[in-house]
Order: sequence, then C-alpha cells, then structure tokens
Amino acid sequence: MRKMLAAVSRVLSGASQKPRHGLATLPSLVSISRLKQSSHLGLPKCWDYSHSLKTRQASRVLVASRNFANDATFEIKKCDLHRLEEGPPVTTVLTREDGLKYYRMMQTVRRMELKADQLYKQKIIRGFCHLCDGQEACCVGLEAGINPTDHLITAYRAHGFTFTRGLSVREILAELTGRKGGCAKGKGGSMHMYAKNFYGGNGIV
Amino acid sequence: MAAVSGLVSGLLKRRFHWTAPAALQVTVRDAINQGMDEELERDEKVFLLGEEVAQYDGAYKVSRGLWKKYGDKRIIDTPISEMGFAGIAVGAAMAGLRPICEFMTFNFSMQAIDQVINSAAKTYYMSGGLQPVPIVFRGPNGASAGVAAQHSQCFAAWYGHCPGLKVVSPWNSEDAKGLIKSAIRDNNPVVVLENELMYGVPFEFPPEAQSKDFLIPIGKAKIERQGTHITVVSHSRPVGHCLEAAAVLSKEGVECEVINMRTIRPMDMETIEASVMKTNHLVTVEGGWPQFGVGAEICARIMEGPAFNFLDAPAVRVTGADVPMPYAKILEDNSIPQVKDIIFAIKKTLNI
Repeated sequence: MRKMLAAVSRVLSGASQKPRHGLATLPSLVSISRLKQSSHLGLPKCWDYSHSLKTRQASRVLVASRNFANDATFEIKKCDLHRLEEGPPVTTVLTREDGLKYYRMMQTVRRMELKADQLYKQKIIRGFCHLCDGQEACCVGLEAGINPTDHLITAYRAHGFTFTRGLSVREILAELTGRKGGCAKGKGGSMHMYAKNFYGGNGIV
Repeated sequence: MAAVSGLVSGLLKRRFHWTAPAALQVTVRDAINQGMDEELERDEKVFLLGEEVAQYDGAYKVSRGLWKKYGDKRIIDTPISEMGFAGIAVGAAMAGLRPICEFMTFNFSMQAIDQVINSAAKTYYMSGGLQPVPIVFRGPNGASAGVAAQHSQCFAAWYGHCPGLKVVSPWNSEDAKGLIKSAIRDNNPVVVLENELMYGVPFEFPPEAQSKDFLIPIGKAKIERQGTHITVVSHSRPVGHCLEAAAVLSKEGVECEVINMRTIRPMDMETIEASVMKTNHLVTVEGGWPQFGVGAEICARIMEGPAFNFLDAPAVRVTGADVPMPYAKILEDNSIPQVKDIIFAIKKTLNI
C-alpha cells in the first residue's frame, strides 16, 4: 500500500494541475510523510494518527492550497442559433465558493428529504410525499441558472424547489407535518408549497 | 327385531356435523373487481382502459388479476393523459365497443371533462338519437386521507348537473357490484363515483349478489334502515356515518330512516318523498361542498313536490366545509361530515 502510494506520488507532480475538461483535479499525493498527517483523505488505519490536531489542520490547509484548484471550467454544448448573432456562452467557470454553496444546498435538501422520508414512514406526514433525494442537482442547478426574480413552477416533486426558492427547512417540514408554521399554514401539504416567484407544487399532472 | 336393528343402525349412521355457512364478507374493491370480471367475460366488446390498470393491477388494486386473465387487448394501460385516453374511450364507444374508462381519481377527470360532457354526455341528444355512447367512467371520488385540495374534491354535483349522463355512487360491496354491472350494460354514458376509503371495507354479501346476473337498477334508492322520526338521505361513504348516527340516536329514542341514494342522476325522488311524507323531517348528508350540491337539489325538489306539505321543519343539509380540502389532519377531519355533525343536524331538525 505504501509502495503504491509512493509510486503514485512520484507520477503526479506536487504543484496544482490545470483542471481537465469537466472534472475537478484529483488531489495529488505529494509524499508519504504528508499523507501520514492528512487524516482527512480517509486513509487506512495503518497510518499513524498520533499527531496533534493543530498539525493535522495545518497540513490539511497546506495540502488543500497546494493541490486543489480554486475554480473549474466547463464547456457547454453550442446551441443552434436562429436570428441571433451571438448565442449563450460556451464555457463557464464554477468558483470554489459557488461550488461549496451548491454542495451545501444539495446536502441540506438531501438531509431534509431523508428526514421527510422517515417522517412519512412513521405516518407523521400523511397523504402523498414525493421526495427528491437523489435529484437535488435539478433544483440547485436550476436555481443557479436563474435569478430570484424569475418565475418558476413545477409538478408535485416540489420540496427541493421550495427550498432553493428561498423557504427554510423549518417551514417546509412544518408544512409537511401540517403545522401552522408551515409555508402554506398546514393547508397545502407536500404538493402545494408556494414562495415568492414560485407557483408551487401542483398535484395534477 | 327389525325395530331394534333400525334403531341401532340409526344410532350408528354417521352424519357430518353441519353448521350454517359464515356470511360471505367481500370488500368493495373485490366486488367491483368481480363485477368487471363478469362483464368482461360476458361481452367481448367490454374493455377497460386507464392509468396502471393492467400490469400494476390497478392503482388501488381494483383491477387485480384482470390483465392476467384477459390480456392486452381488453385491459389497456394508458399514458398519463386523461384528455387523450378519455377521448379514445369515447371514440371507441361511438364506434361500437363498450369501454370502461378508469380515472385514477375523479379530480383528474377535470382534465378530460370536455370529453365526458361534450363528447359523451351530449352526443345521443345532439345526434337526434342516432349515436349512443355506451361508456362507463369510473374511479374514486371525494375525500381521501391527507391528500389535500387537488385530490379531494367530490364531483357528484358537477356530473349530476349534466343531462345525458347517468351518475351512480355506490356505498357498500353489494351496491358496487350491482351498479358497475348495470352501468356496463347500460347504453348511456355512466359515471360511477366510487370511494377510495371504502375500497378496503368488507361488507356482507347476500346470496343474490353472488350471481353473475346481479344488477341494481340505476335510478333506485335503497332504504338501509327503517325509521319513523326523520329521513336521512345520503350517498357513498357518508351512508355509513348516517347509520352510525342512527344507531346512537336510537338509544335516545329517535328512529332515523336512512336512505342510500345509490344513484345521483336520475335521482330517485319517489323513495325520498314517500319517506318524508312518512317522517315529516329531512336531513341530507354528503361529502361535497354545500353550494349547488346534491343536498341542495334534494331540498329544492322536495319543495317543488308533494312532500313539502308534510315537512314539519326546514330540511337541513350536512355537507363538507366550503373550503378546498386542507392538508393538516385536524382541519381535514373537520372539513368532512362527521357522525357528531349528523347527530347535531338531526337534533336541530327535530328540535330536541
């Protein structure tokens, strides 16, 4: 295992690489000694973890700054144009802050949906409960592409969109459990959540 | 000697122990399934189409086993387009087949209501009697459990309003089987308003209901419970609530006559009038909204007919609350007629 890691670290360089098409850089494995210190990489238990927290944190930052890029460039498929000179851009850049923001949003939606699933199985949520755990990227990605002043409507799988349109998890879960503090005061339920510039949540396909 | 041997042989003769057979309990779901199965078998022009009716055995398992038995040509899964498949069904009916068009709930029938009303209901009249449309639209209607506003509307009043349609609303298994069979055999468009919460409820199935030709005539109500003090008229699930209320009140000495309408259109006014003329008081109970509802129609017709002179008090309607169905359980429970509401209305009418 150690020999393999050493070999890999020799192949990949220590400096941060230019990100390849569509993918963020894989963390370069610098040296075995650094690996020893960076426990966050999920290394097997044969490594020595007896260092102090500070050293480990310091090494983590060092590893991160040296080995992770700050943004990623993506190529977008070129559209056919009709009566336009210029189309939408063909490349886009995802910055680290945005990436982390979207990741946080997706994780929040995921946790919220998993909890809603649990509540539904306990029959605390009644009627229908259409979840989007696994599909969080749809709502987060959509929201990333539009402005808060744009208008949005969707079908019954609406919890994720309700969150990305600005409502809190508290309001959504309160609505699902039929409480006054819910976004529709408990009268709408899973499929009928509304927010500013968000027209629900519709049960009829 | 012969007498003794006869006695001994009588004692030694073995008979099987005999008990009366237990009453057959059939759920409403199974009753509808049986009714459709028998009609599909009887007439090869009958076929069923709807969302999830075939391979999934029905969204509420009402058409369980039918696809396995009759195959793709008789039991057809449709895409999620009510307007599309209702139109296809109406066209098939016009061309001579006898379709059963299932809506997953009648709330979705609003997407196809143009086909139901304009293409199916009005055609026989518009064509001067040339073009019958022998179609059955069926599905669950009314409030369910926690499905909120867009999935809980009762369409009895909406469909009952239209000439050209027959509208039936079964309560128990016997009603369900008899009415679905009559609906399929009828040459007119019939809307069968079932109830999702009743599907799993078992009822005693009388022996005549087990026959393959058991039909309940469309347009005839049934008196579920005889009474003398007040007439309570209802349809679908609230009939059960009325019977519960009647049981509670009979302990207090009030005997309610509970009528199960069975058919919304054409309404059996003779039975209701005869009952009102006997009891002199009327309460109507329904799950739908009050304005322009089934109860409103009953009261208007009572007023127009001979029974009005026999009323000792104004008729009272017990209906669902005049709001879109809320989601929260406490609000939902209070938006549909409960047994206590029926008891309250009866006592109010009787002034006790």
